[in-house]
Amino acid sequence: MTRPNLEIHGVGTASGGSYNLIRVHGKATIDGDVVCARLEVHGVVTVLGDVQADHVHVHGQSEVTGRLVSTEVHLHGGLNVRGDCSAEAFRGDGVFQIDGLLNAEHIEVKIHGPSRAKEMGGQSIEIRGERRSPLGRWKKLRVDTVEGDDIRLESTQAKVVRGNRVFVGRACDVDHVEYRVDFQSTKGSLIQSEQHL
Amino acid sequence: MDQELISKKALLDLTGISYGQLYRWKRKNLIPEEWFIRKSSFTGQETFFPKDQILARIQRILNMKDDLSLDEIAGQFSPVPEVSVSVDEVRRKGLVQATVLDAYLQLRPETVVFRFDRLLALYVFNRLLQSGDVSLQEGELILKTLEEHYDKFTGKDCEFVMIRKLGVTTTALLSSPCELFLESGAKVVVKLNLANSAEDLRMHVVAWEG
Repeated sequence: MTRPNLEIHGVGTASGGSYNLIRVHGKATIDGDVVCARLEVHGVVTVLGDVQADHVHVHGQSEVTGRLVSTEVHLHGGLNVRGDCSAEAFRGDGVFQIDGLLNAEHIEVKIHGPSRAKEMGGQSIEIRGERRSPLGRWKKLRVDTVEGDDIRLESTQAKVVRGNRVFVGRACDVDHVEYRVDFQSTKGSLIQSEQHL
Repeated sequence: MDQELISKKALLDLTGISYGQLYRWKRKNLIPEEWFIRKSSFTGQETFFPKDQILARIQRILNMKDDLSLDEIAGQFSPVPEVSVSVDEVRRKGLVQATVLDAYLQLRPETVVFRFDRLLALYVFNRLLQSGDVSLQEGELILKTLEEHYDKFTGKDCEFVMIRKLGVTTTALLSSPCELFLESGAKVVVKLNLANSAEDLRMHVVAWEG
């Protein structure tokens, strides 16, 4: 059975279900859980439910009230997930708010505004901030715990960072760092305590 | 139920796996969500695991991961593994007593291959017949109950009970844990946790394939 495509240009509402491609230019609300190969957003999308996809591209603003599971997430704009978000690769630049765990093999995001995740975990995690931004102190990622093998952080405010190799860069504020192999930090980052395991 | 917990940190030290691996396995559902137990500690939140279960699970993943892809491993841990074995194979592997298998085939002559749920029914059937508490006629009740209702408990813990009063037998599946009170004179002949049986069976099946 081939799955249908769902294209919304303009303003529309659709029900959840199983699709091949979901493409939105404009503003759409999808009511229910969604399974699709590709979710492309140019505009604003709200999904009332879970999303399971192979590729998610957000150019604009997306909100998922459930959990988001995808092989790849490309972010160019804003992403808001109420549940957990998991992917093999979570990349891009913009703003995100994930109320649960962000779990990805590779996390690579440039932060352009206030972002939030409860927890982050994965193999490699790299968060970059904006250079010399006048509003830099508001453009931060707040996160409770970051756990990964290779961690590089900028513009991040974290309670605990645990990893094998940890680099805490500029504009960071970390309560506690635990590392196994290597730990470095730049001047101007605030680190309350560190511990070599 | 009180069980010993192990912190994530101690787990990584003990097993030598990395954060990346642990999160990867979690993503692939090799480690069930319920095993991640969050507790607050002096460094904020820490995650704990049920010690015996997680250690056994990690050992099995490490043993399998060289030969199988993570998705294949995930299939083996899912509540209903993808299995289909022929009648001959079951006989050859000696999963159940030959006489029990013959009795089963008399009751279900159309059987050619066993999928996991049918295999579980056979496994339980064998176990109860061998225990001596259950007669062959009652055995058919077991099969009927399991075949009709087991799929409603997918992914959940459930128990099989057999109740007898004045020589009349009836069977039921109960979600577990639950309390059961019977009228006087009725007796619970058999009470069997199906999740444990399914786990035992899964071990057998994995061993064949390995």
